[in-house]
This record gives sequence, structure tokens and C-alpha cells, in this order.
Amino acid sequence: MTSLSTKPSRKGLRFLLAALALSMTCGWMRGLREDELLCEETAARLADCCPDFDPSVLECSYYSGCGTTSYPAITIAESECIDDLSCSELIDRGVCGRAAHATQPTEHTDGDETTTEQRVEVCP
Amino acid sequence: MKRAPLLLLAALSLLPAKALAEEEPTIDPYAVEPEPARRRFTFYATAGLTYRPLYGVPILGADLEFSFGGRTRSVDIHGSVGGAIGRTEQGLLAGQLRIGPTFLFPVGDRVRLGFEPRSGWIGIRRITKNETIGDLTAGLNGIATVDLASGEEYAIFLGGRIGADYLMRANAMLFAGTLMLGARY
Repeated sequence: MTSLSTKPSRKGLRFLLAALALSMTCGWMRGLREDELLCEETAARLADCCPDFDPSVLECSYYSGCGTTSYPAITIAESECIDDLSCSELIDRGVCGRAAHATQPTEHTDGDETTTEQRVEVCP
Repeated sequence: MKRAPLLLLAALSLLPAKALAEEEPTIDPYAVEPEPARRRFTFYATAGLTYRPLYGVPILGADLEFSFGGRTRSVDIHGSVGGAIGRTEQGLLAGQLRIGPTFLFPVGDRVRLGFEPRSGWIGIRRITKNETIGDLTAGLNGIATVDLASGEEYAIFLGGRIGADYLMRANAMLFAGTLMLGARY
């Protein structure tokens, strides 16, 4: 009788642990990084200001693994720069166009050597 | 006849005791009257507006919390579950869930002060893809309530809550201020 009553609770505990482990790997609990949030906020602002801007073209995720680290396509400094400009200034200065083709800052690490991929700044 | 004085003496010696026995019981003016029985369980519900800046991004939302617990003379102790839903400055959907105990101390007849350790989760919906970014939180709130109207078993109150949550995966702080209206039963 005891084993019958404890089995479901053990199963439930295993299920909870598995669910927690799974959720830790997905975005829900991976961590709310400043650069990711500011990139998403900036994407929303650009979608409001820039004609025909599709926010889904921006990659605002941080990724690190296998010797490669990729940061959001709009950096924190670029987010602050875009935040300081009006919508007409964003269009006139070509920020909208550059943002539509923004690439992620990426670092490759091989042993002690780290190389950084070149990219065009969105908001100089 | 020789026994008569002895009987009289015995009768006199018994008289005070008898008279004392017939006296009405005295009332102690300092005696504390027993308090009426108090209800042991209480229920709180609050709803309000909350402001939570995260990395300088303001988040404004609606906040809701339910608490159920017990009451002693000096403190109300509850288990609470609550959440907030709102939008960032640029309109991203944001939400928070939290759970934890609440300790409220009556200060005077209408005011209660307390604190709330909380653990929970916060998430913000991305605009660039169909995904939510989130984090686990642990924090502490301070809470103050003032009864606006009260009866024997209920009260409507105005309250404020300020606090800070630590985002455990991102190593960041989230501050929060909430203005709320609540009911206590």
C-alpha cells in the first residue's frame, strides 16, 4: 500500500524535474538579458518608425556555444542611439535601411585566439 | 446555667464567618474581560497598477494578488499567489508570476505594514520571433495598507507595495512599485 501511494508522487516529482530542466533550456527561463530586451524594444520602435520594416528580419538572440558567441543584431549602444533619434531622423540618416540588414556581432574563439566578425554599425 | 456564657461565646465567634459567607462576591475592577472569539482565517485580494523598470525600459501593467492565511493578535500571515501583466514602452507584452508568504502587522486600527518574500518568473514576448524571453526571480517587497472602510469581518483598503526582484539567470535587478485597492475578509 505504501509503495502504491509513493509511486505517483515520485512520478510527479520526476515529471516536475524534467519539466524544469526542459524549461531552463528554452527561452522562458534562459535569462532575460539586457542586450536582448533592448534589441527587441528597438525592433518595435523601428517597426513603428520605418516604412516596410519587418522586425522578424532582426536576430535579437544571444547565443554561446562551440567556440562561437553571437550577440543581438542591435547592440546596447545602437539601441540607445536609435532611442535618441526621432522617426524622421531614423529615415533620413539611413538607420532604417541599415537596421533591415543588420548582422549579429559574432566572436569565434579557438584556443587563446578570439576573432570578431566585421559588421556595419546600424546607428553610428 | 454554667454553660450559657460558653454557648453565647461560641455563637458570637461563628457570627462573622457566617456573615462573611453571605457577602456578595467582590468585583475586581482591573480584571481583563475575555476577548470575543476571533476568526482564525483571513482572505486578501488586491488589484492595482504596477510600474517596473527593467534595464531602463519602463513596464506598466495591471497587478493582481490573492492571499489566504491566518491571523494572530500581532500579525497576519498568508500564503500569496499573484501576477502582473503589462506592456513595455514600445508595446512588448510582459508578464510576471510570483508566489510566497506575506507578513502584515497591524499598526493602529486602520494601518498595516508588512513584508513579502517572493519567488517567481518574469517574461517578455519578443517581436522578432514567436518566443518569450524569461527569467526566474527572487525578491522582497515592503507593503503598507490603510483601511478605507471596515466592518466586523471585512475591510476595503488602499495599499502600496515597493520591492526588488533579482533575476537569477541574468544577474540583474528589477524594481517595482504598485498602487492597489484591496479587500480583506
